[in-house]
Amino acid sequence: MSTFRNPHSVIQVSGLRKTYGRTVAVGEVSFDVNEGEIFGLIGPNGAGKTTTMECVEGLRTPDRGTVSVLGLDPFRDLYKLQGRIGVQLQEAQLQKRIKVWEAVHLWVSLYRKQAGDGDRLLDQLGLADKRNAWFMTLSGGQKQRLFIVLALINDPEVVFLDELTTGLDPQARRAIWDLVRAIRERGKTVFLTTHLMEEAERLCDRVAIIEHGRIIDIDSPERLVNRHCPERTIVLATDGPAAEERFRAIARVEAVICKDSRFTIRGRGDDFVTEVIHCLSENRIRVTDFRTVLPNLEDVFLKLTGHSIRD
Amino acid sequence: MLRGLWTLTWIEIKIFLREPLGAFGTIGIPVLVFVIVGRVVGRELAPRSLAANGFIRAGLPVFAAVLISFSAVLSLVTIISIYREGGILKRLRATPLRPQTILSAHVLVKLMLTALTLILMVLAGKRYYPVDLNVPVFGFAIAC
Repeated sequence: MSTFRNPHSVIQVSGLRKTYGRTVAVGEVSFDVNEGEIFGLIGPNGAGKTTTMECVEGLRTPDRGTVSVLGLDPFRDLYKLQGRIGVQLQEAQLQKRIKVWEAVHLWVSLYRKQAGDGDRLLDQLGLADKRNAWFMTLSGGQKQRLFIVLALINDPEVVFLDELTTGLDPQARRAIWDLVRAIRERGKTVFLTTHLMEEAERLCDRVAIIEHGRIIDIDSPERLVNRHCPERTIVLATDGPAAEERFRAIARVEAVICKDSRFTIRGRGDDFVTEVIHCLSENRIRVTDFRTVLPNLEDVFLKLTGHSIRD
Repeated sequence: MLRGLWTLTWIEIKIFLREPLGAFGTIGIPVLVFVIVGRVVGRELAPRSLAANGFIRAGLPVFAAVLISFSAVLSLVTIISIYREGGILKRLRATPLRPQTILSAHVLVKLMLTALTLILMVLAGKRYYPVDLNVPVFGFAIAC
């Protein structure tokens, strides 16, 4: 992490620290979020993601450190800031018997600037037919979509999404991902937290990996994977004679494991896969199955922390 | 600045009325108790004893005011606790809605419901309560 400040950053966090009694929830966290990007804070439950986000939103006061959002101090200029940001909180609720349209109407009445018609937003997020439904009767996915509507009602410049898809089924999760991408396409900045590595990998332009209240690394998912997990794995099936010998002769190969005509070949470098394909072609080795297993953010997390994100 | 006060107040009234038991308990039961007690002991209060008159003229409004205050404070504390526990308060705090606006909306809802209960009790009293004292209703309501 550098102390360099990007002129395009809309969120700047420096030396943020928050403790609860003797428990250090966040210790010396620094990062910038650039305009128009989807930035993800990723880590296991209890890593300090929500506390960090809530300090940035102005909902919690940090013990130390400075935070700037859109050039405003979230603690001094909270009400001014709240007019320019949209917030979705983890495990938030509304009144059980509030109707969907009433919640939208209430939110519309709170802001000077509005994204336009609340009904249009409900329509865009597939909630038009739920306008008269009570909040308590909505499914998990519908509640999350309503929270997105409420977060967007003031046409915010920065949208905060805390564990947006936790507890949703895969279909609803993918639908929400599309919505988040659509928010970015409208030129907004999205700051999200998640403990789902797949979500971070598919959605985020940049991620910060946080554990025990400290940021371990920040970069795009691709660059993090390339930096920390350069290994590539190819799994293929062949009954060609002397195949194992040929594979071992490839320059970047680190290991070849053979089991019942199935080979697992490990190596590193961007050219590794090309070289294996070249070897197959050159030696006319007939394969009945071929796939590459690329490392992902989960592997990066495992490598950096020594344990899986689910542990 | 109390932006959103009237919208929140109106929504909270509607939400309150959507809970039939809560609405009946707050508005219906006091009127019912008033009518039943009035019918049972009203005859005994009717004789123009000094003690009964004194209680009805001076003690009853104070007694009613104390009971209404207790009920208002209790229900406000309960509602705010429920909102806090359920994450509703936090969600509302993440908007430009200020804490005093949320509290004011609930005080207004409680005042309106108390006024409604009082009106119903006065109407019920006129019909069922045998004591006729020409009570200044408006002044009594304001005092409460």
